[in-house]
Amino acid sequence: MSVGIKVSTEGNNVTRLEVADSGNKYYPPNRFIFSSDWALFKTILTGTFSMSIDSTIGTSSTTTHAIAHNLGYAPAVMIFFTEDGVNWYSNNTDLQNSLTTSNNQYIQCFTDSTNINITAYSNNVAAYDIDVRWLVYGEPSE
Amino acid sequence: MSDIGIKVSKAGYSVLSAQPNELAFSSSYASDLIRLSGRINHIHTGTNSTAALSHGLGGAYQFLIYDALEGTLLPLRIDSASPAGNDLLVKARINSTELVVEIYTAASETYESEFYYLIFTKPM
Repeated sequence: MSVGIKVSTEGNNVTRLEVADSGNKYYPPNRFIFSSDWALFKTILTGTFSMSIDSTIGTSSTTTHAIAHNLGYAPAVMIFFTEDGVNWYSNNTDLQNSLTTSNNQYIQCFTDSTNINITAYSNNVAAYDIDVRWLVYGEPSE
Repeated sequence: MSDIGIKVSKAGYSVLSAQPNELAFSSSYASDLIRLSGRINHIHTGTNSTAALSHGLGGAYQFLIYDALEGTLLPLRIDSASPAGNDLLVKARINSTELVVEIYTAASETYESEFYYLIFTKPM
């Protein structure tokens, strides 16, 4: 027997099944505000930190900041960051817009089973500081 | 105070012992609620342009945005190629008044683009 909790969108009957071309009956996902058949995208950890990236005029470097989550699996994550405290960029952003590899700075994020790793790559740019907002979701990324 | 709340586990897991990724819902964790969603149509000309959406929310909220170029949804990328084959950079930012997409191409060109966005209820 199928048991669970469902909340339908306005005007839809929560118990009404649709019939697929194959003849199988199913509940269309877009009819529901909530259904225990499908997991919500839960934010289970979040936080902020500041990160200083040294000047790399005439050279290049990579700076990585690790945050331990200790979940035992690599979770889905999202980061946002700002230089001016006003405009917040999403992750994997090149701040220099140079479209070349000779003068750029970009921020990337990846996870493993223990850490979130935020990496700032700098090539021939002045020092800069960023504030980072990070979120860990309750779903594995793999 | 005791630990109280609502949990709904996925099929096959005990709600009493399920880990966060084994729960369909838990009142211990906030889920993303979509406050605004839609599409931004934009014509890029030259080597750089911006497409701005006035969201009117009065704050900088967390968001997701995808490049809906040519009918597919792509996460924004540092390195890519424009329809004309030029190096392309597309990035997005939000502030208290606008969601802004910035587009840069290595060579001047004109192309029509479209972005699909989701703005959530959680502030930065």
